[in-house]
Amino acid sequence: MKLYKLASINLAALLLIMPALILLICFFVAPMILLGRVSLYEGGGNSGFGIGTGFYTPGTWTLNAYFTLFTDQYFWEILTFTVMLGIGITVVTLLLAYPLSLFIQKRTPRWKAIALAAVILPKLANPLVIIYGIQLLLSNSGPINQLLLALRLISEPLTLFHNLFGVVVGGTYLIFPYTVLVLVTALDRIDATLVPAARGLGATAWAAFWRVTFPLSLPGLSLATLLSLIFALGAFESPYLLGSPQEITLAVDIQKQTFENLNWPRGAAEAIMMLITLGVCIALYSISIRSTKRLQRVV
Amino acid sequence: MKPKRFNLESGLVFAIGQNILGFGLLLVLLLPLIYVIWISFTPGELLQPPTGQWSLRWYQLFFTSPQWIQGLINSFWVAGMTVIGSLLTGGGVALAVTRYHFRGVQLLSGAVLLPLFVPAVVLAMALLPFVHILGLWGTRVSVAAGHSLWSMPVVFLVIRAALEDLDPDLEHAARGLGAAPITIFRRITLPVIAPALVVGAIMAFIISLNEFVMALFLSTPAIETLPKVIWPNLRYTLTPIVAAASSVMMVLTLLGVALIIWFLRGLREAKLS
Repeated sequence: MKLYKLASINLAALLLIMPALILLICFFVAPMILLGRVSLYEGGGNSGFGIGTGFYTPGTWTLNAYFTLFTDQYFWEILTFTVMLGIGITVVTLLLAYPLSLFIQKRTPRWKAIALAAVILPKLANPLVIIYGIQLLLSNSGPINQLLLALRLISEPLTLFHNLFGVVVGGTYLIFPYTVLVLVTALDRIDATLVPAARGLGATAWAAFWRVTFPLSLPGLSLATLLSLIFALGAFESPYLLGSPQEITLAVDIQKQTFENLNWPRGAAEAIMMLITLGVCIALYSISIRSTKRLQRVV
Repeated sequence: MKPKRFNLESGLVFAIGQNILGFGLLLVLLLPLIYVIWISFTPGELLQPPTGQWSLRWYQLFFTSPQWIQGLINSFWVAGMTVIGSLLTGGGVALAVTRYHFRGVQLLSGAVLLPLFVPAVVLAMALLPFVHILGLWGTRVSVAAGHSLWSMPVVFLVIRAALEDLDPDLEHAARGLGAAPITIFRRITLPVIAPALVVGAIMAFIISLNEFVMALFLSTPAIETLPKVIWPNLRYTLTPIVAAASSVMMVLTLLGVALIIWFLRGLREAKLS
């Protein structure tokens, strides 16, 4: 009887998780494995456009896609650029998001809800709409250039996108909401009586922040940094639409190799390289966090 | 006395400055969205925000252009299927992990969240040859399945939170009174988590409606969703019709957000009473 009951419970649970298992195995695990397999195919036709032939040659096993990548100066350039841009966007995002999160966290519940809604809304919106808005705001005839011209600060419109500046602005906009949400949650967890206590004991506002709030917010800050880095390394829309051919990231090149050169094995190999880069960055980051903590304990 | 007053004043200046900077930054965050909506009402051909005369001509063009309307219809189809897919998958796992104890609960919860942390382009690149081989390339189902990978975790978190809030004594009492599991689910569990189901469904809809990278990789011209129709316009030409299309998407998104807030408020009031 008991055995029967155990089995029936498991059956019900199995039925409930079945749709998710099917989705995860069929549309997540299997494609990821296939991605590795596709990167080991011979490319399609040699015409460069693959017209008339497939996107890859079925049944072949070769490391050609990787050999071409590793010997290609261009690939190393975009890989370096992707990592540097990811770090740059993360730093800019944190520098802006941390003070803003402190500010939001101190508001009354009503204003806090409004402020958080303002932060989340751009995340719910289509990223293309935000990029489009940035394009319009930064364009030569856009309001920022018009304002600077009217104030006679500049004599000719500045080029504000189709360059690195535009890419960083766009990238920051797109990952900002995650960072603020994580930071506000972390700051909320800090005991609200600690800062008044420190002030009561004679600490200045700055000392209270630096010696109490900041150290206690470090776990949240490190999670926010990691998440920002993961999303910034995958930057796609912003370099594509706000950058120039100088600002190509790995994500952009995957799309170009796949749809413009119709070279799926190369696109797949670059996607694998992107996962490896992401893994290395996360590993390096967690090692550095751990060793800093050990260092703190020693000191 | 004098230095203290000085301190008070500087404190006030500091507080005002802080407010200006804080709310200023929030405004800057929303500025691209506001500016796009403003420009969509321009009467001219140029991308200048209308000041005197406002016009609906770009909306008229949007709603009479077959390509844009087809994009909107495709978006609705894909989003609808994503809602069903993510409720079945995310909701099912949420019920399973809160109601049953089995080995691998932690593993399963982690696995459900994992797709969120894989870069969109990598996931889309992985799905492209897969749906190509299956002969699903250029079908709305394939795009919806891709979107479900991202909306499933969100639906899972929302419904799990609602189920964890549900008093287990209610279900125990019903079982003690002899109710069958299916009756318990229908009469107790379902009504309590219904608002969470609606919130999850709307979230899934919004995610799918606004998603772009998966649509770029997996949709062909016949089934392209609204963001995919916008895409070439951002690369080559900048016309105000994109602003109108963007505003339509924003209105749909805001409508969803308003509904979510409304349902969440209902949820909180139900909890209080």
